[in-house]
Order: sequence, then C-alpha cells, then structure tokens
Amino acid sequence: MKKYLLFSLCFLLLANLLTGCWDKRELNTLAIVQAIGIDLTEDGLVSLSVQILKPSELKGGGGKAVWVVTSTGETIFDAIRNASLQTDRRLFHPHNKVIVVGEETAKKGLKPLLDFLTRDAESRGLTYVFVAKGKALDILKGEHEQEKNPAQALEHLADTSGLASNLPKRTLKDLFMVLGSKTSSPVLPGLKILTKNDEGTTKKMLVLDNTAVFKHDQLVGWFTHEESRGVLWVLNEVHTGTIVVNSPLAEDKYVSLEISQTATRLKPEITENKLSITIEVKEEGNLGEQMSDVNLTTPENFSELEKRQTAAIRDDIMTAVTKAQAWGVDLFGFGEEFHRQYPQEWPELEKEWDTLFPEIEVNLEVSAHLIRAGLTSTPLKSEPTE
Amino acid sequence: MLEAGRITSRQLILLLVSSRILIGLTYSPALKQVSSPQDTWLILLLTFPLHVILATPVYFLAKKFPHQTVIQYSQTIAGKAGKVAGALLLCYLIHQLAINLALFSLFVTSVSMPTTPILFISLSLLLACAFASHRGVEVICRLGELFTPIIIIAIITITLLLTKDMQFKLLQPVLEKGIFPVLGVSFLTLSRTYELIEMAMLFPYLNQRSKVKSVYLFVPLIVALIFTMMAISLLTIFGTGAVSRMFPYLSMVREVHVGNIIERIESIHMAIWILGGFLKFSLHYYVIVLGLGQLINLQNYKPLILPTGAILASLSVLVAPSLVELLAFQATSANFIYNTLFIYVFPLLLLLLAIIQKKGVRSP
Repeated sequence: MKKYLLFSLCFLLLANLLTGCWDKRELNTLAIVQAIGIDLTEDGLVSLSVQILKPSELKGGGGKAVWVVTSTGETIFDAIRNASLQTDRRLFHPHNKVIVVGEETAKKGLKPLLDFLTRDAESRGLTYVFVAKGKALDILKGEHEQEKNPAQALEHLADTSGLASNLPKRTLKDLFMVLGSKTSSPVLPGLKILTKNDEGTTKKMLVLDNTAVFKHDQLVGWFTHEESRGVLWVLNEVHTGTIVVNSPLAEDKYVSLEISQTATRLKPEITENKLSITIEVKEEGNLGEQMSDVNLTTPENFSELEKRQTAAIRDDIMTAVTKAQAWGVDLFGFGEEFHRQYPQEWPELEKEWDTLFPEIEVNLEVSAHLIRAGLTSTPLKSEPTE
Repeated sequence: MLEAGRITSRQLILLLVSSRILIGLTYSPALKQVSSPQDTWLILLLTFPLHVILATPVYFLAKKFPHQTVIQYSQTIAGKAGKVAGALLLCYLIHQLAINLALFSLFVTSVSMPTTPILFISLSLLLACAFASHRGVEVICRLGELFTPIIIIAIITITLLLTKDMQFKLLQPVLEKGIFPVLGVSFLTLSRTYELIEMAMLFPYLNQRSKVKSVYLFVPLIVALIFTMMAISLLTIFGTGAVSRMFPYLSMVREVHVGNIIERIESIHMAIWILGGFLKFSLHYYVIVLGLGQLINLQNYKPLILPTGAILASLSVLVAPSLVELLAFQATSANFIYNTLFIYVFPLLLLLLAIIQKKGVRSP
C-alpha cells in the first residue's frame, strides 16, 4: 500500500512540471524584433523604432514581412516597454539582427545608448551596428528587392560588403572592444535610402554608404570608400576586393587586380621622445581583368603591375592616415599597439594621446605580389608574343 | 563509522575539479580583481604551485591520521577546543554553501528565468542535492565521474569553436604592473578554494591510501589548467573589456558563431552550470552533514539532512540582499582573511599541535 502511495505521489509531483515554469513564452505571444533603430528627439527623448517580423507574410507574395513600430521614452528600456502600447505581443530581442543609429544621435555619443544593449540578457553581441544617413526610422522603413525581411537584407549586406573591402563590418561586440579603449575610436558602416521611381511607384531602397568615423563615441564625419579601404588595410580587415590601376602599356585603360591574400602588422617605436609606427602590409593578388587589349602576362609587365599595385595600396593607406591624424581620431588602434609594446611608458603617453597621435610618424612597408592571371593568357586581338 | 563507502582517487579528483571550476565558469572573480586583467591567465596558472605549497598541512595531517576526517582529528589533537573549532569550521562551510547557492540562483534568474522566484530555484536544487547526500559518498563520487568529463569536454569544445575569433596580441603587455599584483590575486583566488577542507573530509574514504598524494597534486593542477584555458579564451576574445561583463564566460559563449550553423549555444553553458552546480552542492552538502554527524557522535548522519537543508535554503536568501552586495562582500579583504583562516591557518595550527604533542602516525 505504501509503495502505491509513493508511486502516485511521484506522478502528482511530475504533473507540476506540465504547467511549465514562470518564464515560459509561447511563440504566438512574442513580437520577434528584427532590427532596432535609435534616434533622439529634439527634447532629448529616445525615439526607438523596431522592426517586427510578421511570420505569416513571409510565405505569401508581395510586400514587406515586417512592421515598424516607433515609441518614445526617456531611456531605451523605457521606450521598449512603451512600445507595448502599440504591439499586442511582447517584444522579443534575441533574434535582433541589426542596430541602426541615426546620424544626429550618433553625433551626441553612442555610449549612453549602448549600455542597455549589453546589459539586457536578451540582447546579443553578434548584432550588426550601422549608422544611418539621416534618421534611423527612415532606414527601418526602407525595403530591399531580394529579401522580404529588410533586416535580413542588412545582415547579408554586412557580409557581402566584404567582397569590395571598402566598408567596415562591425558587430556590437567589436564596437564595445574599441569603445573600451581610452585612445581608440571606432568606424561603422553607413546606410542610406535610395529613392527609386519604378513604374510610377516610388520605392525606398536600402544601400550601404560611406564609413562613419567617430571620435571616441561621437560621430565626427564620413570617410569615402577609398579612405575606408585605407583604414581597413591598417586594421588587417581587407580580405578580398579589387585594386584598379592604369595599364602599363595603354595608360588610358584600366586593369583590375584582385586581392587574394593579405596580412598587416604594426610595429610601434619610440625614439628620443618621438613616436613612429611602421605599417607592414603583405599582399598577394591576381590579374582579374584588363580593359586594354595589350598583353600583360609577361614578367616585365607583371612586375610593373606589382609596382602600381603597391603604389595604390600606399596611396589608400596614406590618405586614410593623414585624414585620421588631421581629425585626431585613432581609428587604427595605434594607442593600443604602443600600450602593448611599451607598457612602462604608456601611462605617460595615454595622458597626452590626443596631442601625440597627430604627430606620429607613419612609415609604410608595402610588398604586393601578383601570382595568377586568371583563365586568359593573351587578350583577343593582341599581338602574340614571340 | 558513519560512512562505509569507499571511493577511488579518480572519482575524488574529478568531483573536486568540477566543484572548484564552477564559480569561475560564470563569475570569473579573478579577472575582476587584478589591476592588469590581461595577466589573469598567469594568475590562475600560478595558483597550482602556490596551492601545493600552502596546502601541505592538510597533506601531512592526512598522513598522520589516515582513518580520520578533519572534524575527527581536530578532536583527537585538541580535545574540547578541537570540537569547538570543528563546529566553527562547519559553520563556515554552511555559510559558504549558502553564498554559493545564492550565486547559483542569482545567475539563473539574471540570465534565463527573470520572473522565477529565487527560492524556487535554490530549493529545487537543494532537494536534489539532499537526495544525493542521503545516498552517500559513493553515489556522489560516481556522479562526479560521470558528469565532470562532460563539463570538461564542453569547455574544451567551446574554446575550440572560438579559436577562429581569438586575437592573441590582446594578451600583451604581460606583467604590465609587475609580478606582485599578480601574485596577490593568486592568493585571493586560492582563498576561495574551500575544496581543500572537502578533500580533508574525504581522504579517509579513499580505497587506496597511497593515492592521497595524487589527489593532492592533481586537483590543483587540473583546476589551474582549465582555469588558464578559460582565461586565455576570454582575454583573446574580449581583451580587457571582459572585466566589464557580469558573467564574462557566458558573454563569450554567446559569441560562438561557426558558419551560421553553430550559434546560440549558451544553453550548453547553462546545462554545464546546472550539472556542475548539482555536483558541487551535493558534495558540499554531504560534507556538512557528515561533519555534523561526526561532531556530535551520531550513528547515522541521515536525520541531519533535511534540517540542514532548511537552514541552507533560508540562509541562501539572507546572505544575498542583492547580487551587487554579495559580490562586494566577496571582494572585501575581511572575506579574504575569513576564508584563509579556515582553509589554510586552521590545518596549519592543527599540524603544529599534532607535532608538538606527538600525536598520530609518525611519518616515515
């Protein structure tokens, strides 16, 4: 008898588990957030826009599968909770793919806005961060031809932009690592809206734009694609892309060289109270295309192309470094390099870094090689080599 | 004899290792105490030699009193005073278990179940631990043999999945503020190793007496190696920014992303945290009730289990008004002295007394 009682007690206890725990959430009670846009209103309130996935629209034809909700609050958390006046479901953040910060908001500083995004247990460090040209809300309302879910398009854009290597790709975690340093400043990819007239209807399409340059956490300006490439060279973030140079045998025609292998090393040095840093870039590339019809696949022409490739890389880096020094923004983590190499001297350097950084002497050692020439040996109509 | 079970040295090593690495797995306290965080891996590596040196009294006492636990030989050595000291030691262990239980449930409620009452989490875990300690030392040690490899394999897998994102230059500059701050934090880290007392409580139940030395050496070695691996992966992923995270290791596990397939694996972290928590608290709980039974010369320690559990559950709520206060208390120097007194000074005094009074088996 006692045995049976115990047995049935076990079953009763097991039934407790069937009710689930306090924190259970059903999928149809959640509003799955795909992207967050942060703007500040004129009176200093946070205007938060969220893109919420509409799963039922994902399969059917036409239109976007997201819904954009804007709410305001004194803080981001406040704004998120205020959104519940409009959404009938609880906002659910773990699947958030993208954070967009408005241009004017970024000028006022990122740090106060980002605390919530790392403190909250639902947010993730792998979210991509962008800066909007204009307001973040407009970006969130934009659309994309390929994807029904614009946030997914943005996430993929961040990945594919690596093919051109003229825009940085930054996750929340990357951003925090740079902002955690007292001397470094981050760069973020920019986003803008392209208004397109398509058979009478205007479409607002999302495109990546220039690179947003920050001083510590405040937006100070934008770098063009060439300047961003220079920054990426120094940061060792160029993985592939093209370098366009003039053809050695037909100066008015272009040749594209494809970047295939790269490695960058920074070597800081202190000599007689003068700071200098050597940037060593090693690159390997392929002949990707030529628009002239001369034969470039000879050792002489290849070495001439290598020289031009080297010069092009040097130019990119020097423009970026000169501009960054003029703006006084350490985008390259030079400070951290000095910190690693000269820990004894660093406390002194750190105090005066803002005045020291523009004075740093930058030496470049670029070695670029061409290895392959693609599937064409000599172009059409060219003179065959003897 | 209160406990008739016998355990192997391997079981004991594995159990003590998982018990020690648990808090490091989420709170990573060593990282937050040092002035040059990039040296944390060195701090944790140094704990091995320092621990071996500081813990020698426990080793010699185990040689001198091969069939007695720390509660028993303190009475043999010092009589009535030894009994009082043993009672204080048990109070210390109860306090520590309550603190760790609070840390456990505060982590679970911060990260995954924010609306679940804290008491519900600690009570359900305590019930499971009570059952394990009711079954005796053999069962707990076999659980350790079963679960600890899972925990270690999970940590190694997480480290391997993150290798593509590691930047080893972030470990520089090494010894930026010199060796002394690093050594200091090594001692702080060691002051949390109350597993030494648990070791002293379980030595008599080893099936081979000759294995005492291997347990004594291998536990700190394996712990130091796992801690070093964890610290290196943390620092190469986050740099010194890891300090600003409340739960650095969890934040790191969230960074795992391999080929859009292997990502969001933080549930693995939660799984090993709960498994490890169960092991750690079962062992700790068992040691407390066994010690209590030996202190008041009971024939059976089992009636003590539920009353102790009631004390532990309520104490775990009382010790932690908030997570911030609990962590601040743990970082105070008073807490360092408090821990060191019980873990290192107490065995040292016992050993000195035993040598002066010429008690115990004379070491060869």
